[in-house]
Amino acid sequence: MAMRNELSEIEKTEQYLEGKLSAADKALFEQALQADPVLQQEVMLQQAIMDRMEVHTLKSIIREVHPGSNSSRFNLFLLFGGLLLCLVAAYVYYTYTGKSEKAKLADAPLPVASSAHTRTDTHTDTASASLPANTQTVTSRAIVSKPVLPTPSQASDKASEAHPPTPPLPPSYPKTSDGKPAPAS
Amino acid sequence: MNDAELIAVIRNKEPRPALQELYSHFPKVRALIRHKGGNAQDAADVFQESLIIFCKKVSDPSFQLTASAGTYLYSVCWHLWKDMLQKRNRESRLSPWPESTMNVQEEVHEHQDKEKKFRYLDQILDQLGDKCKAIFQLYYYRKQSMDEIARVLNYGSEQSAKNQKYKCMEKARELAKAITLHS
Repeated sequence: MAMRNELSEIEKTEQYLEGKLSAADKALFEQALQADPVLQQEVMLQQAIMDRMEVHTLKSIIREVHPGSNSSRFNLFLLFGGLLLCLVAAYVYYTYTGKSEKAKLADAPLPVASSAHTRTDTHTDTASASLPANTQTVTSRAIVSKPVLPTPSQASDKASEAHPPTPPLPPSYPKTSDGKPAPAS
Repeated sequence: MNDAELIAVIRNKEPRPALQELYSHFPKVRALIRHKGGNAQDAADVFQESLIIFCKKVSDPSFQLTASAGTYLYSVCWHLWKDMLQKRNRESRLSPWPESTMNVQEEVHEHQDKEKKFRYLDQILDQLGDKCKAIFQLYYYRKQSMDEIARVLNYGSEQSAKNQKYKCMEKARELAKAITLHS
């Protein structure tokens, strides 16, 4: 079978490096080698590639065998990825539920501290608008707004109206640790 | 697997089970390197090099193991790590290796010189397609005949497998030349 020139040169080189050339061919090849530095380079390179296959193959096997190899690292990625996803999901869930509870509180028709504060702001704005714009605005606003704010005790009273304390538990039988009525002694 | 069996499978170019077995010596090496200023990656790199040195050494039929495989690996790792510390210009915190136990310094240095010179070929071999890698592994590493390889890899004839091998070599040589020109 006819081969391209480059390929037959590669074949010759390989046979030379493997010691498979006949004495006559070997002598011819070495003659050409001595006269041609480029060929010398190519022969050396080909030898290096052939030799490197041992280390290269060993390295690729070691990569697979190594306890922290890519495949086992991939499994770790999956594990941590899954955990992270769960955490994110939990965070999103709790943030959402937390917000909606705050929203419910704000909607509730009860003068809790935060809604009282909003009303105060509106009030002071009107008050300051009626005053001439001068350096005293800030102080006057502070003065005006003060009496409107419910005192902390008032606010907490109203808050406790909104959320009446849980009624005292009805008297119950003495319980054992497992919750069953204790046998009458 | 005892050491003689390990050596036999490595010489047979079926080193996978031996390499798996040799990893039982890794924790000791990791402890040494962590204790002496290295991290887990350093330990993994050093141990990998020591496995390659061991396999290459053992493949030489004239090589005689004068201690256990574990001791051999440990002492190779010790020397490799000492050299790495020196290269990083860090004061070696390793006390001198007791010469009498095992002297592997020469083969470690020989290996490191070769690595420096030929490491660049790895990326070329990685770039070759799977076809080329398979032929190269079977022929240049396992030393199988082209006739067998043609059968195993489903080439129509020995000659067409040979042609494929030479084309792969041509490609590898071109890639190598391109790299040496650019560097």
